[in-house]
Amino acid sequence: MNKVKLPEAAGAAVAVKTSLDASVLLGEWSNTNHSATGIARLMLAQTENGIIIRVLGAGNPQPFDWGEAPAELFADLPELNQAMSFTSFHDLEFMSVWLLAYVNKGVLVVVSLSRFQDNSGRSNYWDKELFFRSREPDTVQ
Amino acid sequence: MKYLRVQDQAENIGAAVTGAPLDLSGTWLNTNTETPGITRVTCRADGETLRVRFEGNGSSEPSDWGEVTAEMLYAASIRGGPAMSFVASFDLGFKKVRVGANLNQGLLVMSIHHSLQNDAAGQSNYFAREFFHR
Repeated sequence: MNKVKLPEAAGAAVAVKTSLDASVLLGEWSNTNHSATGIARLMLAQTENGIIIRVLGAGNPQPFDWGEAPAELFADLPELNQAMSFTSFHDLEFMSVWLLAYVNKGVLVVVSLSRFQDNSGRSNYWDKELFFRSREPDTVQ
Repeated sequence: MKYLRVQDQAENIGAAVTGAPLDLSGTWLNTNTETPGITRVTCRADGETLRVRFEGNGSSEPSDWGEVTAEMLYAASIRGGPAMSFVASFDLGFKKVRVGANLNQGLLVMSIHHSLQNDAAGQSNYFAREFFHR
């Protein structure tokens, strides 16, 4: 796996406390497109400080590890306790990415909003990808 | 050129630009006329930036959220093009709202994430996905 070497401050994930039930979101999610060139997989895990997300970008031969970031959870309605959506922000130095995601009928819909910060000439761009849960939360490392 | 996804490789790209947000401009109305949420969104291009105003139904949402500048505009491709998406944030005191919006087949599709402040009466942060037409 291609590992990203990030400064310690950027790589340290400080999770946000939440009391929402995250069971619908936890686990490993794999892109429904086996030839995806964006995000290959992402993993959400419960820690003592909240929910952490780890993203693997599509790579050849190995995916790129974006490291961990805290995920903020959202229910469908304020009176509900089941989290069906999350947002996360990934500062990768040369690029930053907002992920806005929600579950719909068992599919995790992930909108990524990418901004390049390295004067490489690449445009900020919007993308949307679909994921299925490939591993239940208890088996995610 | 660094990349962490295959699709972010872009040789000979020159200077790709996210264009002015003209396609996003206008008054957008919720397709759900019974919505308890946001009823109208007004977007106006101000040079290369986008100013966004939200209006609610006055009961479950404030009637006027005020106007903010979109934090970032996004094209549909790494190679640039017209702005077709934006991110904006509103601080309403009792809650903070982050909005991600994109154009799709003539609709403005919005993911709206509400973060309640000060543990608002045991309520949860919540998310809504709404559709707007011009």
